[in-house]
Formats: sequence, C-alpha cells, structure tokens
Amino acid sequence: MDHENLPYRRVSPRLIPLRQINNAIGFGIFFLILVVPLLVVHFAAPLFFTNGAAYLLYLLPAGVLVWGIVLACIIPRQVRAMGYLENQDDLVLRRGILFRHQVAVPYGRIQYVDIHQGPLQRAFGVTQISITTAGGGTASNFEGLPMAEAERLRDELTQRGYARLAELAES
Amino acid sequence: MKDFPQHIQFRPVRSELTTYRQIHNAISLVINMVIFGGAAVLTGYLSQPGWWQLLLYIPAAWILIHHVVRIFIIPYQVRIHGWAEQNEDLLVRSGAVFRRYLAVPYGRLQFVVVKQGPLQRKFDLAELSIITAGSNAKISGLPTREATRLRDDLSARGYARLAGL
Amino acid sequence: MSQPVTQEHSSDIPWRRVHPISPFVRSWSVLLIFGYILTNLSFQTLRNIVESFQLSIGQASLIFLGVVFVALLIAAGLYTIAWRFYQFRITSDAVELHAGVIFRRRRYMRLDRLQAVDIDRPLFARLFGLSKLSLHAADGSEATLALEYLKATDAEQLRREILYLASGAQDDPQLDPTTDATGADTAGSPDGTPIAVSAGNDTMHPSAPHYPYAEYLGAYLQHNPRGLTEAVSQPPGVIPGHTAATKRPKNPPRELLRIPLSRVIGAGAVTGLGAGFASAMWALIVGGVVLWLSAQNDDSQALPILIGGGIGFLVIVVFITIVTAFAQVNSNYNFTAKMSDSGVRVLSGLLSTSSHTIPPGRIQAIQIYQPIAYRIFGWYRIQVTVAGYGLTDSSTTVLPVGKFNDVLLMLSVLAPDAGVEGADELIYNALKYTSDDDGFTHVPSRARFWQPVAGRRHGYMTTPTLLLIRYAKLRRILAMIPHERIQQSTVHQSLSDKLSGTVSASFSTPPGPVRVNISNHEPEALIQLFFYEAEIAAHARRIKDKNQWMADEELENFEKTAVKAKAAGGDRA
Repeated sequence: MDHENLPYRRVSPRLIPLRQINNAIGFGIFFLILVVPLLVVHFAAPLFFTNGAAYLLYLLPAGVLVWGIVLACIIPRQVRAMGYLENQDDLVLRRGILFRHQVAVPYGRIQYVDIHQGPLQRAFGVTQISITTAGGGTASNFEGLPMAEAERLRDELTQRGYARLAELAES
Repeated sequence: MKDFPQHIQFRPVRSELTTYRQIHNAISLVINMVIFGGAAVLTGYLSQPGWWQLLLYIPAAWILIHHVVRIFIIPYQVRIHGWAEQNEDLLVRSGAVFRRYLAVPYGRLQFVVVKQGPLQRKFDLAELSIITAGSNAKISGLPTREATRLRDDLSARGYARLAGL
Repeated sequence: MSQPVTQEHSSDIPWRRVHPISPFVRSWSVLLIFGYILTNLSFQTLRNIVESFQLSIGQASLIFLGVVFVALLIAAGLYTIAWRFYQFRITSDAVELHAGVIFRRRRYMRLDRLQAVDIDRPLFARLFGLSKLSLHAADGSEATLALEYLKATDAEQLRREILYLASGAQDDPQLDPTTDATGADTAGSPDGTPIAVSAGNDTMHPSAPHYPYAEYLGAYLQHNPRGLTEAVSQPPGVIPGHTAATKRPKNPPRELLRIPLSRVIGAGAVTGLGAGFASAMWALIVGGVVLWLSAQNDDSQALPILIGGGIGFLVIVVFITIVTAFAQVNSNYNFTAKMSDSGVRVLSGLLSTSSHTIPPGRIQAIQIYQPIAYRIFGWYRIQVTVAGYGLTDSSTTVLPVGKFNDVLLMLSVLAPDAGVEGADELIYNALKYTSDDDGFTHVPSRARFWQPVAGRRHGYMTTPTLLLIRYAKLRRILAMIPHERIQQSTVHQSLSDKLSGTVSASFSTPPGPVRVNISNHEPEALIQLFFYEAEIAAHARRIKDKNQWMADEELENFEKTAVKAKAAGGDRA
C-alpha cells in the first residue's frame, strides 16, 4: 500500500528461523496425522487399495506438504514485510505481502500492553507484543521484537499518549 | 429511507469495487457450486434413487440464487456505498436494499485497520475498518492513497478529541 | 503490603507476590476432580475396579487416598512454581505483572485505565481469610489482573490504594487513603441503617443522596451548547462554576441500601419457581408427545409410564427450583450498596462473598429490568454496562432485587440526573404503564405486526442527559443511556422495516447487558434522533469522559484540546 517510503522499522531477522521451525513442526504434525493412518491402512488392509480411487487419498497429505513448503518459501518475505511505525499520534503495525494488513492504534487508546515470550521465542530472543484497546479486545499481536525493544516500545506507547495530549493542550 | 437528509454529501467509493465484487462473487459461486453441487451429485449417485434426492440440491440451489441475486445488487451496493467526513463524526452509508447509515464520532475511535488482498490491489481498492468500543464501521473500495490518508486523519482527529473510552 | 505506594520512580518499587499460602488453597480444586470422578462412577464399577486388583475395601480406600494426596502435592508444587513466577507491582501510575514459567507474560496497565475493582472471597479462600482481587480494564469480561489470593485486609488496603492512585488525587492530602480508616468492608455503616428515601421528588428530599456527578454536571451545564441550564434541575449543594475551585471534602463511604433477607429469600424462591415452572412446561411438552406416541402403539404400557414420568418430572422441577433459589440467595445474601469517593460499591454473598467497586464515570449504560415473577411484588433489578465487565451476569447486576424506592436511590448514584422535572414519575410511568402521553414514542400501528408482544410499549424518549428506551410487555425493561456514552449510532432498514415503511436504530455502547436497539419506528423522528445523538455525543463527551476522575487539570487539558481540534477539524472539512 502507500507509505512504502516511510521509515517503518523492521522486526528482528531471527524471527525467520523461528517461524520456519514453527511452520515445519505444525505442518509436520499435520502431515504425519494424515499419512500415518493411510500407510497403516495400506499395509494392514491392502484390500482397500484395490480400488484405484483410494490412491487419491494420498493427495491430501501431499497437498499439505506442498502447502507447508510454499509457506516456508514465503516466510522470509513475510517477516521482512512486517514493520511498525511510531507516528506522532498512533502506532502503525503492518504485515502481509499478498494480503496486506495495517493497524493504526492511537496511543491514547491503549488499555494495556502484554509482552509474551514462549520457550522457542526465548531461544531466538524475540517476543510477541499484544496491544489491547477497548475495541473488542486485542488490536494487534505483533511478533518479532527483541525483549529490550519490546519493553522500550511498551513504555513509549503507554507514556506517549499523555505527553502528546499535554502537547496538544499547551499549544 | 427517504427521510434521511439529502444535503449531506457522501463521497462515493471507487467504481472498480463493482468489478472486484463481481469477480469475487463469481469465484465464490464456482467454488460453492463445485462443493455443494458435487456433494449433491455424489450423494445422489451413491444412494437409492428416489424423489427425496431432489432435496440434496436445495443447498446448491439456494447458493446459486443467492449469488445470482448478488450479481444484480452489487452495482447498486457500490453506488450507494460512501462516506462523509463531518466536523465531529464520520458517516458511512451502505446497503442497496436495506439501507444503513452509521455515525462514528472521531473521539470514539479505538483503532483503524486497513486491509488489501491481491485482487483488491490490482484494482487499487483498500478496505478500512474503524473499530470503536461498541462496534465497527467498514468502508470498502477506497483508493489506497485515500485509505492511508483517512487512516492518518482519523487517528489525528480521534486524538484531538480523545475521550476516556 | 500495608505500606502505601508513594515512590515516584518505578524502578524503586519492589515486586510483590500474592500470599504464600495461595498455591495450597488453589490446589484444593484438584479434590473437585476426584469428587467428580467418584460421583460419576457407579457403585458397581467401583467394586469391579477394586475386585480386579484383588484388594479389600480398606486397602482400596487407602490407595485412593494416597493417590489423592500425591495429586494434591503435585498440584501444590505446580501452583507454587506458578506462584513464584507471578509477580506484580503497583507504581504511582501503572500496574505491572510478570507471570509464567515457560510461556512468560508481562503486562503493563496504566492505572487511569481502571474500570472496576472486585474483591471475591470464594468459600475455600474465605476459610483461610484470603481474598481475590481483580482489576478490570476496558477489554471485555476477564480480569486484567487477578491476584489470587491476598490476605483479606491486604486486599482491602490494596483496593483503596489502587483506587486512590487511579483517581489522580495524589496531590490532594485530604484524600490520602492511609487516613481512610473507615473499614469499608466492616458490616454496615456506623449508624447501621440504610438511608430511608421516600418516593416522589427525590432531588428535593432532605436526606437525598449526594450527587457524585455533581461537578461533572456543573461543568456539563457550563459547556453545554444547547443551553440546558434551566432545564436541568440543580442537585442540592452544587454551584456551577465553583466546582473546579473548591476541593471536595473527603467522603466517608456511605451505605446506600441493604436488601432485607426476607426479600432475598423471596426473590430466590420466586426465581426458582419461575425456573421450575419453565422446565415443567418443557417437560410437559416432551412428556406429552412421548405419551401420545406410546398411546398410539400400546395402551397397556401407558399408565406406568405416566406415573413414572410424573414422579421424575416432579423431582426435576423441585430440584431445579431449589438449586436456582439457593444460588440466588447465596449470591444476593446481605446485599449492600455503598457510595464513596471511589465510586459505587456493592457487596453480597452467603458462602462466597464478592464486592464490586465501580469508580465514577465508568458506567456506560443502565437498565432497569423486571422479570415476570418480580411483577407480583413490584420488585426490580438494575444491570449496568461497564466496559471492564462485559457480559458477565453477576458483576453487572448492581441491584438484584429492590423496590422502586431502591431503584431511585441506586439511580441517583449510577445515572446522571435525568434533567427534567419529575424524573421519578417519568421512570415510574415508563416502567409501569403504556399511556399515550408519557413522552415515549410508539411503534406505529402499521408495524405492530413485527412487535407482536411488546407492541406499542416499545419506544424511546430523550431527556437532556439520557436516552431512555423501553422494551417488552410481559417483563419490563427500561434502558437508560447517557448521551455522551454512545460510541456509535446506526440507522438501518431491515426487511420488516422495508415492508412497513419504518426504520430501526442502534446506539452502541461497550458490550454489556443493556439493550440499545430501537426497532420499527417512524423514520423521520428516528433519523432526527440519530443526528441529535451524534451532535450531543460530540459535545458532551468532552466533559464527562475523564480517566482520572479526581484530577481537575485533565478537564482543562481536554477543553483546550477540544477547541484546537475543532478549529483543525473545521479547516479540514
């Protein structure tokens, strides 16, 4: 979208291997869940596969595998497309290449900020920051900031609204 | 809703939204027909023949009617859809048959979301959602530049009128 | 814990944990699981299990107790680890939380975002003298910060501190919470009697409650573009214009009302009977169909089925009645409403007690609700929409069962003054009658068909401060939404509107129990209301929406900002 030339800040590149691992694990489990019962049936009850159409069932795990590989190829670009921009009035978070998604949260609307860090995330030194407003819960989950940066951003977000309000009031 | 004042000037959304929605509608129709029609045909093929097989086609027929009706409604929908930036609030108009007017005071804005899919990008269309603590307002089919402008403006105005909730 | 937080630099403030005994208290929930398992297995299955291991009953029970004990130990261990990693601190302007062992979570909430504070004392925690403190921000229903468990006195102290800090009154020595030794949770106010208020002209009554919104209302009058000064009746003791200059003296918590036990039991019984009756109707319908079907097939079988069914049906109805009635009595026992600087506070509960504190300016909408069963006794229920509570039923009810006088008394602290003469009669009539001259609009007769039950009763009315919407005929509902609380307004035409040439509208507030829709009304008037609400909300919201309800300068900031914004907005538009 527009705004391409604005100084969006990127997330940590270490999010790429983290997401690759998550993707591999997620699709790996999904693939195994599909393919293992099929193989069991194939060897335990070969009668079932006398009908040629039964082999079409193998298309399902194959499709999952292909989809997982496609996503794995997209991940680096996806992560590079993620960015955040601290505007004067609001924080803008953007993500997505094909399906682009931008959220603008005015600083003063932030109810509270959460920083999450799971074990894998800790290993790669990234966090997930979620911003909650009164508009139906979480406005945005944003993964990939290092802990120090996340904490800085959080303090900035929560303090900035008030500074900005005072500024507006004085001038 | 003829009683709604006529003097408010609503800015129309891009007319390309019609094309986009028609394409979207067509794709959705094809996918749904394949799924529901296919399921009906398959079930009919595998089961005992009888008059009740006609019932299997009800979902498919309903979806077909729904989509065909949409084809005729979409141009009107897009023509009606528009927004007006007033001093204190944003008005959104939508609905070809069932008209709906929405007023969002700037001070009530919680956050703004701009979305754009690949097909929408081709037609330079963006979708803007304004989320308040009560509910949401959505404007589809804005030019990308306009969506960005509106997003920044809304944030700024909302800021100036910032209220507790 | 008993030290008030006075430090300015957040890094100096130590992290705290909840009471060390809480992991053990929480691990008792494991017992419930075993209890559930035991009750779900039949005696026969249990015996089979015991016999299959070739054990005597004594050995089996010993092993079972051992398993339970080990499970308790494991649970307590896990909870202890969680406890060690659950740290919070309250700085002068924010609440911070660090939680989680494997998945870590850090939460930061500014205190002026506080929407409500609850103290719950579940039965088990209560035995240990512990309380659960929950803070709510405007994020829906779940607590933003739940402290399970604190010592009861600590929880009270912490609640006072948090409310004090959140109010923005730090600079005012008169409002120091450390001097607030009134013991808000001790049973009853010093005199021990609720204030008696007669029906009728509430605002003029000598013992009428102090209006907590008085200064807001004063400011509202000053800034109101519509010149409502004459229309709004002055609450006693308020001089507009002097509100900002004079500091309000410290208000000791005052008891507003207490619901007598007899009424709590009565309401429980009535509600229980209602639930029993409803289930009886269902059972009758289902039973009737079954009976009819069996009668079709074989006559000789019908009588035993009838008797058995009848007995089972009676048992179920009695059971449902008792359970519902007890649940009601349990939660509403000794219901007390109080009023203080930190807002409205309601306390109740028999086995488990709970208290909810809603600071001023956090109530988004109010609804007076009269279930059919309450109509016999002239009782009402009041529910409020608070952004922090969302749809949770128990927290949003601020008056479970009260007479009309109680309703007026609660309204005086929950809602702004209606701003018209004879507001009490207005509310009374709105609830009681469907007269043609009470100011409410009606569903036009051509649209009657779409409102089969409510009919002409469904309508709305505006006063200078409130939008009143009336619903339903058998039960009675009156929603009251202060204009400046409306988040967003919509007018639309549904199919029924299209067919009868009417219009529907919806005035959204944050999610809550209060209904906000108007259906099938005259287009012209409703569209007028739509614009009226948009305009009044645009002006009034600047005055009333304050984060820190005690800080005066915020209001000024707000006004300056608003003026500037208006100029900027004017340029743009």
